[in-house]
Amino acid sequence: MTVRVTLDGKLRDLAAAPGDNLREALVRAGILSARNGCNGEGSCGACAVLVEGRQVNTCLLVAGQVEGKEIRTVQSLSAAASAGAVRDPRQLSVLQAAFVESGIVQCGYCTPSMLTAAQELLERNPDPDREHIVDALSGTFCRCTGYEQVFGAIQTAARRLADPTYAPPVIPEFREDLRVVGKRAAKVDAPNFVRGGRAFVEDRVPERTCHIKMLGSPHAHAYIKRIDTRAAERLPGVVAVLTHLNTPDIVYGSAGQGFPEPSPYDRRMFGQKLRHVGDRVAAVVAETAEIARQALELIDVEYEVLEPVLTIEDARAPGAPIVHNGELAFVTGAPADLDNSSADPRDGQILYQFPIHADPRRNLAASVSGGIGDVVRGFAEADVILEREYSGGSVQSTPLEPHIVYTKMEGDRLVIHASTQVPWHLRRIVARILDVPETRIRVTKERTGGAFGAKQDVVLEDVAAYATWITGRDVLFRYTREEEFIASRTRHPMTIRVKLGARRDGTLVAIEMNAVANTGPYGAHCLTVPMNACSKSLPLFLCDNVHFTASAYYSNVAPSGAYQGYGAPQGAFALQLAICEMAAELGMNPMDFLEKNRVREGAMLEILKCLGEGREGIPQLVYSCGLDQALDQGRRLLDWNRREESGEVDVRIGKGVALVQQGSGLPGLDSANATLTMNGDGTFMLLSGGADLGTGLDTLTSKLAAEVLCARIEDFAITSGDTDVTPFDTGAYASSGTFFSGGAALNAAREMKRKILDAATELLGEPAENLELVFPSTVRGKTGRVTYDAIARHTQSGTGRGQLVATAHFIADKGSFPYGAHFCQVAVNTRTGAVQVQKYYALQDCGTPINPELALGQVYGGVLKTIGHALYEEMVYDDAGRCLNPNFTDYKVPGIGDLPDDFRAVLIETDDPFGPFGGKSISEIATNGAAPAIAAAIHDAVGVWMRDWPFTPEKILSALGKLDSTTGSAGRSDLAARTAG
Amino acid sequence: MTREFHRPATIAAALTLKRDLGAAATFLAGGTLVNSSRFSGRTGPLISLDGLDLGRLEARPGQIALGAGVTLQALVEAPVVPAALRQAALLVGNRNIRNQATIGGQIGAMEPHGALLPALLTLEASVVEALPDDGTAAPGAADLAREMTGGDGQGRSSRVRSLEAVLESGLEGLLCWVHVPVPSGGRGSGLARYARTAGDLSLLHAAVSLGRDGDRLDRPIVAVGGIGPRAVRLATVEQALAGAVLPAPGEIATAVEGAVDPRSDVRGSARFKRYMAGVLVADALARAWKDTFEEAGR
Repeated sequence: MTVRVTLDGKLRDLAAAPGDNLREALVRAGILSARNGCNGEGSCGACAVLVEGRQVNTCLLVAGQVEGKEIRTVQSLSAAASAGAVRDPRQLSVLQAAFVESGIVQCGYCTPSMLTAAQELLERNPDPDREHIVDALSGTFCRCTGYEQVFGAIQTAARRLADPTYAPPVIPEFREDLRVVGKRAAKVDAPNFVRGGRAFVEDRVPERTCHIKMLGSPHAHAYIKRIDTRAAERLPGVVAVLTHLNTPDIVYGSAGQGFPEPSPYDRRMFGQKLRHVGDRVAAVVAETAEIARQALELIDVEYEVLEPVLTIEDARAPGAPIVHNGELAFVTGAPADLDNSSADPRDGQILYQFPIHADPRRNLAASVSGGIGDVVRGFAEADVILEREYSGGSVQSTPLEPHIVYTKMEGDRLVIHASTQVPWHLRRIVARILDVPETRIRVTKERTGGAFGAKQDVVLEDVAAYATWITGRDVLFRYTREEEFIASRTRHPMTIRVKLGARRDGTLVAIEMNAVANTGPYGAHCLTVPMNACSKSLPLFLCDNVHFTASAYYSNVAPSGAYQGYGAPQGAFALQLAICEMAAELGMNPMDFLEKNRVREGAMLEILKCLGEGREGIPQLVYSCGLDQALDQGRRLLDWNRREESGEVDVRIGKGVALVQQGSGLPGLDSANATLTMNGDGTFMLLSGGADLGTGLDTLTSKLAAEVLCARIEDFAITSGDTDVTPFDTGAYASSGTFFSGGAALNAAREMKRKILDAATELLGEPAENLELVFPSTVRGKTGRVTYDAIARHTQSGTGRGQLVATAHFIADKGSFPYGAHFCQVAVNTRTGAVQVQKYYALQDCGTPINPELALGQVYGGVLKTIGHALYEEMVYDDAGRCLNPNFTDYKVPGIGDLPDDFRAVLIETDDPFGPFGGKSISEIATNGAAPAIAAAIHDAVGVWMRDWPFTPEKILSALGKLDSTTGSAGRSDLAARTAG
Repeated sequence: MTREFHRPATIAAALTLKRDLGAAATFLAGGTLVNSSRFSGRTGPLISLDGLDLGRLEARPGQIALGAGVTLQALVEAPVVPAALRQAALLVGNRNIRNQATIGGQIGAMEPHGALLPALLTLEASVVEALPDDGTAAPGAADLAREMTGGDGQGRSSRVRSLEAVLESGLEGLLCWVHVPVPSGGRGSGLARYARTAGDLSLLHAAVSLGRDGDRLDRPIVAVGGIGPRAVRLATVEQALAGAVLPAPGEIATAVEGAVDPRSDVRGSARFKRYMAGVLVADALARAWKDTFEEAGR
């Protein structure tokens, strides 16, 4: 059928099958911005457009419902803006420009729907307040931004529509001595996002591409006894069916970490053993998605169902089912007593690059311990000893764009268009599985529609790559939202036991921390995540006697992996809340206790020598630490010592604080490279190995180069994360982007500067020491000046020295630690258990904030995610290991209506000697504070310590003793008697 | 995948289609529920109601007549709609959903959760269904035409039933109108809900309407959602409250806890739901009681 509509001002006939939803029809018509984040559940709003002037979700409309109606997409905004005599398709509307300017654009996947929602609002309300904006955007789910900057964007647009000269609100800027670093600047990819342009993997997929659909295990723990795919293979349109019987029996790890990885190689593309609901049984490659789905129904599988292991306690129980009972092998360091006599060949092999203190026969995936000083002596010296246990369940990062990959052959080479954080690790892992040299594979990182750590792993690229390799066909593999929950990666459920010893005067004399993680069915990141729970928490306190253990256990729940914060949120929750509990035990104000024991500039962090990533670590000196200012400002902002009253009988108000820290990449492990080439007109190409996940890394590297080379940011065109085009980078994880990828760009710019000066000496006839770069793009000497344009023409001429090309790398042996203090105020309703976050102030030291408005966005987004984890989010399993809430209806992610009433991110500038222009990381650290700060505030309000996240109303009521009686606390009454009849 | 899509131009044609296509066919209003993948497995024909002019909202003597196709956002924005219903509509989904979802669709889906149906129950809403009229070429057309233009809806091929009855036994025809009596002066209303996030479903919901006779409750109506498979009125609680001085919240909660029998699921334990039902009804009653004083002042 065809559906006639007015689409962005033009009559169009949309081709659609009778059951097609409008989103599908629009994408076929070229409207790429109608994104798919929830697989038609209608819960994310990424597909929304304006129909008859109203924002609606196109996945909830059958195409036929819009017959004769007017549809406007984000493209209509640009079209209207360029409706003058000379049409410029790149012209932005006032609203689009305000979005770019405000910093609200991050990954860009939800940006078009945010914009149309805002457009609808402004058309009916030219002067919206905060409440109007919350209502207008209530249907748009954004995981990146934390929404806060959208208020400024929309209100700026509203005022500028009334007064075109209206200036944007002032944001804090930094480093007066620098021209672009520390100053507001448009995110380099934002204009394309606000126009709804081509950007993501799904935008690269041509027609007639084959689709992969995966048959997931219905059982949490089982062997495949028999599998018959013949009927599926006979279905017309089926290209291939992949199972453990016809795919490489090559063991690998999915974690995109530096090689050799501290994670076990404990999986193969398809295994005979299934270790979680949704684990790979078979993949169908077919000419359409529908045929692939039909073929899945035709695969006949007989399972031998095993008892599942669901929790850490299950995994550690004597006689527990063994999740991995395969042969153990080591590249180096095999133990002398290695015994594989009880291994079951159906379980496959586990290969370790080096020992990680695992014992899979006891479901122990990895472990490590260490410490400084003597904790036994420390606890003996303590006046007060406190020991508590803290825990958190599975939470999912829910990038709005699910995992997706598109693979194709170009000649004899495999090309992988990936939504990944780790293009080079991805290439290395896929090359291993396909058993081909890396040179046969190209990975192009497209824009990612949210990543958050989940895209640090090879989740589906191996299957698509293999399918293309053996069939020669273009292949698209995209997870559904349900698959994203049950078969991508979650934050590790973790239980952390903390023991503190303190003197009466508040001096910490001993800390013990025991973090135990549930890694799920496979061991990706199983050592480093629980270790990070310790390594990003313990160094916040200057204590002479510290001991930790970190371990991870296999189980049959959804796979765990990397997620923004990488264990630090769990560690911060445990240690920071224990600190608050200890302060209460001592009768001290927690702020005083923190001040007495916290880290300061100049401290030597000896504990870090025990906390390397699978190898020996290095003690680190704290060269910069903004906690002085953060704590001082936060205390004043929140009026810390003032007791607040709600005015309502059932509502109590409390305040909480938490210190946070992270790293800036992994010194000694990470490395990054960048190349600058000068174009014929003196502009530049910047080739960065870094992977911009929507965070603004490409903008950051461009600004660093522009600063050094005294050029405009617009003079740089950046390509990043392409293994054929750009040099190597370990990838975007461990908060490495600013420090490492930025450091490489900075070094490349410095090298380019040297080459420009060398070339200029020839043209100006002056020695290099007489020359300097001046803005814009000019070399000035004592007697003359020459532009980059002229230098380029000279160097690239037949008599020149050749095109100016500068390549540099960056490594580090010193760490730069970002710090922060998070303050919050909550209102707790003692009758309903509801917690309202009234105020949340995140004060973050990121050294020099290179992109201030984007840094603020990182903080807002990180905080809101973890307010979600603290209060709402939790994957719930039944006794058979099935996740009961793998959707946005029952897995509760916060939206714009859940923002704190007063939500502020404050950037604390410090002077760090190692990062680019003093920059330190900003993104991950923001995820560490919400759980402990909110839990501390809840205690301050109602006197209960919430030691298990999320702090649901049911748990709070239970802690308050309100659910002790099935008939409530009021007991029987006359009214109840009358009710009973 | 749905294989057929129909967009009839008249109610009679819609009913004929439904009769001919059988039980697998579904009337499609806004589509926020029928088209959602939450209700996967939908493969039958869809009969869109978009062409039936069901989107009118009329203030009639003693009642508000809401066409089944009136969107929830239109309800929110219409001053003639009782405040209790506007507040409830505002709690359904989010702006995108309210722009599309219709009152008829919400009733037709009979979801256990949500704010709208408890509010309509406390307002004693009734619904007008167009019924198939077997044996005629255009079944019920004349009667329905009268109904659509403001007739009494009691014609041969249409039927008026209370919403409560519809929720008990289901719809049999095509829902065309929802009649909401204009609350008599002095009656107040209140609602309270439990939801995990601002945009969440009303996982548990309580709605109350009541009058005031001096310091006593006059004809209180109490409805809850999220407790069982349908939104329901709590008749025993209503009877116990009728004529009483507003009891203390704890006393109300205890009475409600004895009148509900929730089940544990991913959204909460039975014990928690029972407790919360009591709290929410008590809160809604307190708000409704306060509202009666404000009503008196208006």
